[in-house]
Amino acid sequence: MTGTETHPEPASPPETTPTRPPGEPVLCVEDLHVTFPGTGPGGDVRAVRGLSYRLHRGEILGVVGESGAGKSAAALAVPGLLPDHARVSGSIRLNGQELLGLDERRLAAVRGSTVSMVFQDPLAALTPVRTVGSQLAEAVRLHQPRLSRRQARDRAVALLRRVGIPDADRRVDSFPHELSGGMRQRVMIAMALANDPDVILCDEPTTALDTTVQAQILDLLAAVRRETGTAIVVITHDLGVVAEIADRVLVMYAGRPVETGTVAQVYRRPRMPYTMGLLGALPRVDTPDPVPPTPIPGTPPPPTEPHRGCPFAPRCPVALPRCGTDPPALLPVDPAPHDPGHRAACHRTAEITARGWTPADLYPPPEHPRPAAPAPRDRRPVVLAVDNLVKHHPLHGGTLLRRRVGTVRAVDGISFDLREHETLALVGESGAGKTTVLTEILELTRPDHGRITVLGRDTGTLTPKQRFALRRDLQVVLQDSSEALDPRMTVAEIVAEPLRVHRHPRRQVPHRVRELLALVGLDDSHARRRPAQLSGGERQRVGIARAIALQPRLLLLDEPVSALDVSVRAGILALLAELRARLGLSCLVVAHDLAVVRHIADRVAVMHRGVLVEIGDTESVYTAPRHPYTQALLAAVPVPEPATDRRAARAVAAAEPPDPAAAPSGCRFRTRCPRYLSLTETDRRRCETQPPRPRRLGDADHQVACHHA
Amino acid sequence: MPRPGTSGTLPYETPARPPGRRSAAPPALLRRPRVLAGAVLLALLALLAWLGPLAAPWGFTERDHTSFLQPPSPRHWFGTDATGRDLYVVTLVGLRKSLVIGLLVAVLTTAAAAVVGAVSGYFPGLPDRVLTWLTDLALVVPPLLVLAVLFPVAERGGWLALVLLLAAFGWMVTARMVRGATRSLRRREYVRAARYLGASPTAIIVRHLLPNLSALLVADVTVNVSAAVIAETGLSYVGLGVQPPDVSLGTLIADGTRYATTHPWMFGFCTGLLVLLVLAVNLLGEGLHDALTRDTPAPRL
Repeated sequence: MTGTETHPEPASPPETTPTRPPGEPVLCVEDLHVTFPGTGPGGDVRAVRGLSYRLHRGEILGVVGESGAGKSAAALAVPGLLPDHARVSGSIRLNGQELLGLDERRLAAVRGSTVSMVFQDPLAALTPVRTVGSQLAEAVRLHQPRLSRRQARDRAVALLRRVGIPDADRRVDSFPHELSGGMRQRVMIAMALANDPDVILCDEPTTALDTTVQAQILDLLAAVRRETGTAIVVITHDLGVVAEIADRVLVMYAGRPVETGTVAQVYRRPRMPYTMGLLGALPRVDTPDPVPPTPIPGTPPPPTEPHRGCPFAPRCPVALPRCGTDPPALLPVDPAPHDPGHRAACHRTAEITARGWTPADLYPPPEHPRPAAPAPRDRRPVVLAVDNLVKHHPLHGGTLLRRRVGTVRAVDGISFDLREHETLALVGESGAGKTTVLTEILELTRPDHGRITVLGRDTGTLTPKQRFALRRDLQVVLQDSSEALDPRMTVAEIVAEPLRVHRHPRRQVPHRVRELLALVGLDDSHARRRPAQLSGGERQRVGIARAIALQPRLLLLDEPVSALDVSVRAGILALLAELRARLGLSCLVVAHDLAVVRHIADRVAVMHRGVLVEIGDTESVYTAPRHPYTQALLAAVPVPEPATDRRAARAVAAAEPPDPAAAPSGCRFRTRCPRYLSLTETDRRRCETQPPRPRRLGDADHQVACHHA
Repeated sequence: MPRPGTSGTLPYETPARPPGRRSAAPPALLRRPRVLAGAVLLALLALLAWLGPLAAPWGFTERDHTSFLQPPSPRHWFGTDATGRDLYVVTLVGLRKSLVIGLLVAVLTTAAAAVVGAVSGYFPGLPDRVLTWLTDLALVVPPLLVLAVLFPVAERGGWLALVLLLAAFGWMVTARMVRGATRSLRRREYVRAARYLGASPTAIIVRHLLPNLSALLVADVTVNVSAAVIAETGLSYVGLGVQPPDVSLGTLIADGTRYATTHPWMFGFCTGLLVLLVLAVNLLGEGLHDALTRDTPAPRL
């Protein structure tokens, strides 16, 4: 990426790029407004309010923003895929042709042939009852009706090969459910490529995928751009993804563009307080001494509200009185016309530049209180011990009669312990068995094999009464807060439920509920609302309040922040840190986001396919990972830092996780392992025959299950 | 729909506390025009059924030997029948019986269906298999045949036996629906969360499953009120339902059909009231169903 090239440009067009390739832009969006006529109390929902951008051939534009920023509506407007009742105004020109106002027939000709889309959930975007090959062939034949079936099929195979699907001749006849999530997303990209479009719009293309797979999909998109010169718009909430792949970035807030420029400009020198807040709120995996992520206070304005001034003013730490009344325009950051590409919509841009403010200046990082001088680990009591835990699910098949065709080894012999005042994170890809471990502990029953000891009690020997008593000390925060709270209950009732179940004295309950809500940063006005009337962060706070209501000693958290927006996520992380310190909790966290884990965990356990491959204190695992899988996971985490040379490390994670029902012999990682490939024949034999056991490395609290670590 | 097992207020509710779900619900629900219209109509019909006869100068068993089969007049507001009974009083007494039978049968049917469905949906394994088997068995037994066989028993038991019999034949389809809905609800995170809190299965069914099925159950109650009134009418028509000297809208309609063309007042008033009753219940049910469905999180844009 070159950020220094200059192109004198007349002031009138809304935007230009420093790296602008010659010629006209492929896609030119000007002053786009999208409004959904409202039926609810607030009136019309203004999803997009004046968006302009230009996209040149071979360029990747990242559009970032939190949920409700209008990113998706803006993208769907391009191929005319918004629902009929949406009101769209402005101008969308594709290769000079105005798309707004085209009739459905003409739009259909444009869709798929010159502009195509890749959606977040490839399982929902593919028809489950037809093979991927026939769906691809259909996409090809729609725009090239003269092709024969045979030719269309050949083209489908070629497309699958191009997006890196191994064994494409065979895969072409698979049904979508027979493919993994990453494979399905590859099929979607193949479909988008079917007719050599000029523009591909990707709406959260990697959000549903594991980081290792995400890294591969991002590489694929970059390769597609390199080979075909297709322009790509990547819509995402993840600043790390944008930094990895995009040339330019456009930050949206409340339907407006608030900052745009090259990735280097926006990430290194953000000039709009919202962008700065987003960057500060992002947990980082790459910094040696992690600064805790900083939340942006407040919530975005409701999309029904008309903007009087800057929409960010109520949350902005440096807002001036005029910010509330006078909406700032998206103007070049640098008044001298040598670099008009970097633009920000803020009245204080010049001041931010002049004073050299950084995100940390605007948003002081929260103090994460640590428990006062914890005793050394081996002197603290063990609160949770898992010993050789095994959980196998039978796999049934057969068309007429159900019969057992195999076994999914979800958890296959896992041992770890958790000591008082400690937070242990269980990380790994989806399907690694993390959640199964959590569920097995929560059930408080005898596991299939092995032993679970919670607070000194063996779960296999509990009577129902003892189990009930133990639940008081063992509580859980579930992943999706909108799912985990009963939609028909009020917040007060939800928080009171554990108190009620465990026979808390009735008269003290209202007081305790108020106290708990205050503890998690909510107040009485929230108490009477229902989950649907809360924001995602508020809902997660309610979930946490419910979990700590009984003052448990052990708290299990299942992906506590993965469903939340970046700015909210930081707030929840800060809250968890504070509660841990104040209440002396011991926590077991299941998470897939390694950047988040780095900020909350004292120790990390890395799981791969039902076994632990590495466990140790966070610092040593992150700075000196010894297992190739841990190294691959860490390399795959996108970092919000432009132009790092991390791409080389990517190759490590090349292979997809294998079929969970057919575990390879010996070490389960060997089919994906880069180290295995570099071994001699005798060393390989060891990987193939002996499952590695975790062994200690030196004196440190660090164990690795690899023969060759 | 009253929630089983809970009183009107929450155990921890104090006056200072913001109102909870149940105390806040009625006014919000009543603001819906259909709910309001249905409730008012139903209340008016009940008022008419119980207080109406008091306004007439005639008693239920009294006969006017001076007028037989006379059209409505200031003396007999709905006219008289072939034995000289005042049709106004007789019809309203019949309405009273039909209202009681309809509501009772509907509530019993839905309650039975909710319990059977929720239990078999929540406990997979033996309880589910036994209850599903029972439900299927009850479904294949022809109700009219059983009613005809059990008629002597039912006759002795009076109208209450009729209510039980009608309820016994109405719960199966709903029970299956509730079972299906429960099976999907029990996998929801909030049910898991409650389980991990230590809540007992009964508490989970009562506090989490049934309230979240309330839209389905309310809709079912209203359908069942109409169905029960009509079933009772049908049974009475063929002579298996309410027995003389008791009357219901069904027996009255049965009596009146013979005169429908020649003496329309014998047929018109009781039929009209039946139509109004069914209409009121359906309005109420549909409105409540909408309100309860809309209460659950709406899909976001």
